[in-house]
Amino acid sequence: MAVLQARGVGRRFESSWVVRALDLDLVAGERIALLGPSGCGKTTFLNLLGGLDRPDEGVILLDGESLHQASPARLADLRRSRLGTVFQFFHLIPTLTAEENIELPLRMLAWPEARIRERCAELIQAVGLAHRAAAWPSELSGGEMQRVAVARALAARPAVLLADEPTGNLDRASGQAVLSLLAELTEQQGSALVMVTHSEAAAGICHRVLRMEDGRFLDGTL
Amino acid sequence: MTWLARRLVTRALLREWGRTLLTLAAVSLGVAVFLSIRLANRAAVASFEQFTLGVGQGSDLVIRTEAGPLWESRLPALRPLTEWAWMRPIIEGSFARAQTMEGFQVLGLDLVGLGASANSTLPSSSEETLHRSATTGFYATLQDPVAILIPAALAAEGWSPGDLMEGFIQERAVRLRVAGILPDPPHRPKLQRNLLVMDLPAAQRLLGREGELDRVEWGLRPGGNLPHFEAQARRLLPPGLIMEPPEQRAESGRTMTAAFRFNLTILSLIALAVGAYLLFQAFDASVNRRRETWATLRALGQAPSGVMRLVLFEAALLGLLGSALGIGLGWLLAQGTVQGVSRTVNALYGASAAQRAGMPAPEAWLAVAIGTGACLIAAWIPARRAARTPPVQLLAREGHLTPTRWGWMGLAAGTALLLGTVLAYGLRPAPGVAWHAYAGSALVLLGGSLLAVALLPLLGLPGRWTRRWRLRLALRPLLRPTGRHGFAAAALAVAIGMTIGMGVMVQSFERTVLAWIGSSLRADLYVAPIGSTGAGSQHRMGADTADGIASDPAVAAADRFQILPITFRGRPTFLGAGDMGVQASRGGLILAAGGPFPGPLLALRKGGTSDPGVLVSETFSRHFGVRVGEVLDLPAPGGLRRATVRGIIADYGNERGSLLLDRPVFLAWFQDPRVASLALFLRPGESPEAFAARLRREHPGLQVRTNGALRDQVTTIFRQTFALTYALEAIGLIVAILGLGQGLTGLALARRGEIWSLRALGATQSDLTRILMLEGLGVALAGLLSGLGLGLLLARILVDVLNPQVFGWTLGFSVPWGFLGLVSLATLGAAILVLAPMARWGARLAADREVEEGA
Repeated sequence: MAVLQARGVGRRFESSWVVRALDLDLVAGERIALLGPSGCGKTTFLNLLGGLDRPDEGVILLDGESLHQASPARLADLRRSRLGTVFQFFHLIPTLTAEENIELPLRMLAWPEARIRERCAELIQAVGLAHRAAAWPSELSGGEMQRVAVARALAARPAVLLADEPTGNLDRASGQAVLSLLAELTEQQGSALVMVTHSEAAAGICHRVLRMEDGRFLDGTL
Repeated sequence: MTWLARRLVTRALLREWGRTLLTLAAVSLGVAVFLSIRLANRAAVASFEQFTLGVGQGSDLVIRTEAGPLWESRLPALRPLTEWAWMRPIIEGSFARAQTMEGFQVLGLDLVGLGASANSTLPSSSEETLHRSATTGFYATLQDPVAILIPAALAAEGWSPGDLMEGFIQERAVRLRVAGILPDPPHRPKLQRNLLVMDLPAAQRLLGREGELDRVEWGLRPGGNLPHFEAQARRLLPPGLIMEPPEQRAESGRTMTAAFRFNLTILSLIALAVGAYLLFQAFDASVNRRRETWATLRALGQAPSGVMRLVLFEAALLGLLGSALGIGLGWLLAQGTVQGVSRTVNALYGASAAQRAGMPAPEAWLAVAIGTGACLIAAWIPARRAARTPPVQLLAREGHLTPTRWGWMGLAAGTALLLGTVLAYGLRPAPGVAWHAYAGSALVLLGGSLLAVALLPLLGLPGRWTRRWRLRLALRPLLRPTGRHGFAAAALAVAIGMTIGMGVMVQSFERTVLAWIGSSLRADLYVAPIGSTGAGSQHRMGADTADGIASDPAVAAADRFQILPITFRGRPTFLGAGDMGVQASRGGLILAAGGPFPGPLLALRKGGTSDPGVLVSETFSRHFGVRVGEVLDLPAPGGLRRATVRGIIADYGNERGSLLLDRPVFLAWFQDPRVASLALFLRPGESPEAFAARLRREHPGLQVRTNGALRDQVTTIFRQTFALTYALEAIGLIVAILGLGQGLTGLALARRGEIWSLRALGATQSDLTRILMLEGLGVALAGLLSGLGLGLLLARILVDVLNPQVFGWTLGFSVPWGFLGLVSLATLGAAILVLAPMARWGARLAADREVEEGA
């Protein structure tokens, strides 16, 4: 059964449609790459899937629950517990250390302290940054920052991880390391992944590739 | 460049109209407050000067005595001077209108002689009036002992020849008759409204001062040579008389109101100082919002200086527009302020009737220069940053949030505070000179604002340990504060510091004055002629009236107090006289030196006229550098008289200082038995209220106040004096709080990526609002704590150094905890009110770059 479904989703800015008539079914553990040129609507669609934006037409269901009908509070709740997000520009909180960034979603969910410590230790180990746990984001390299962002996005074991150009701001080696991490961790946790990318190589870690152009999926990519 | 400026600056200002309006509001408010105080001060001082000059415009020299009246009998000695100049003898007095108790200046002039003088200094049009009137029996009318000429301004209110004006001169009820109208001189300031001109003999009779004059004004005849005339006058000048330029009287008026005006000017500068912080934040935010534009321009080949010029052009444009608005707003504010200033100057010095403030061109240009200059200075650092930062850094999303080096800030704060305090307290320049106190205060202000920045990491410390994620996210930024945090906290600290500093000083002043009044005003009743105000009042009570009241069976003792303006060592001061026997047994003068009360008073009484003694006020002692035991040569009608300083007394009644003689000595020297006020000590069992009621019935020309009523009046005048102070402080505080809101807006804008990220992680709108609110409150708290400390230190400098040094007043320092609590609560309350909508707005910020240029 699909954990995330999109049916006839469209979003317009002023009078022009940025994305339109998009359908998607994402099953648990599945990894999908959204591939396409700049401006084709990939990020807009990702934001809609993550409940960060609302569609002008169509529906998006997360575990059968309609995102566009959910209240802002419920949306926030879903983002805490069921969705994880990784950004191209990392967006780590600069005033929290690497470790504190990772534990932030767990504190937002009010996990018990012992479980937070345990989960955080597990994740920081998994992303290979145990020795950098106390570092500030400004002291980390791009690759390290993105690894922290991946750990943070997966901390609460979300059903779906949304990644927007996760390697777009990294060198090749760091990018490859982050992609491997994404594949490995989502595999371990059984989380589904929707990844926006320009790169065919990055798309290689996914089970399916959806190609977009002018706000629509190209025929036969579903 | 023009093409670029039109598109990048003017177009952006129009599109971002909200930001433009906010900046314009900041500039115009700062300019308006500064300008309105200057205009109001100017109007009040001009009115004061007009009052002191009367219609005496155009004279070249004034001759008067150093102390006491100028007897007409001394004029023949000056007669030879009429070869080169005309002379105009003048007597001054006061008239209080019945019902309204409005005060008027009575000016007695030799009107008959005026018509004959070739170049009288009455406005020429007035002379014409007089000449015209001569044919219709005007001179005859003027011989009427109650005839008055009124200024055109009063005639415009409906007064016309033949009307009767009822009121009091000295304590006597009189009915004056309007005999003519003095038109305003064509090329000189208009005659002040509260002026009544009488013929000299009539004025002398009404004032009970036959044969006396206050001064003689001299005007050179055409072709006359002033230095030659002055030399002749000096040669003929009898002992005890002095000559001075006419401006001298206005100058002493200016000196008299200096403390009050100084207070207001300093306060208007607060609004400017805090406004400058606000402007800096506005331009900083503007540059930050549009950093992509500047980076792109640089990337396209625009030179850094070109970028800088564009940012400064925007600042100049906003400065000019804001100043223009500020000039209009300032003029409007001044109309309201001038009434307050006039009321206070009138209450304190009994001599101002300004109702409207003008708008002289130099003031308008000064306002434009200050508004535009402040904008250019405030925009300089952001403009330099936009020009010098490499484009790639400007384009980076978080790169501009550079943490402040707060450790250095702390060190710099400590150094500035220490240096400022040492400078203020360590030096002892001549009395009246206080540059060290001003420089010390400025350093302390700088230190206090830096301290606010250094306090931020301390307040952020709980964010290091707490496990509450919202608190952690709110407080962590304070651990590594950015320039925006720092500026917002510093601006608030300065505003609060100035408010607390002035507030504590005023309250210390008030408590000291109330304690002084409590000690020195011990009589049951105080009696004075109606219309009497401060030390400058010219109303006097006849000796017979005073003796009659003092001998009433209900009265146990009476202190007859007299006071006159004198010139001592070339500077104006006051000479008072009271009954030292009564004061010693019943009074409570506070002695600062000379021994315990009532020792010095008894010494004065014992010395009598054979070994005269004098008490001097602290202000006098400081201004003239006089100590106990020193022998002074005091001016008196019969020549200089010697008196030994027996004690120094506290006196907060005026800023010129005063001398106090025992009444028998004063009578022997001045032969003036009149009384300015009478302090009555009633016999046990007598009701002050009942006796006061009886006195009012029997003497309608006297105002009789009970001890409590007089204290209330003094307190009211005191509070009225500082009412504007509080209003200006409130404006400074409001501007700082708005700055805090603006600072938070800038922070939210700079951190929208972070906000976006938190939303993606599941933070709700309410979570984000609370985080931003808490962060803003942390900044407000840093400003508040630092401002409280800064304010108390400033208050100490004002109380311990500035007041004694400039005005000669020793004040007791008292901390008004209630006031501090009120300011703290008001600041935090106002901060919450301003921060809440800003935080809600910040929490809704989208991360996409489109908002960057348009937000």
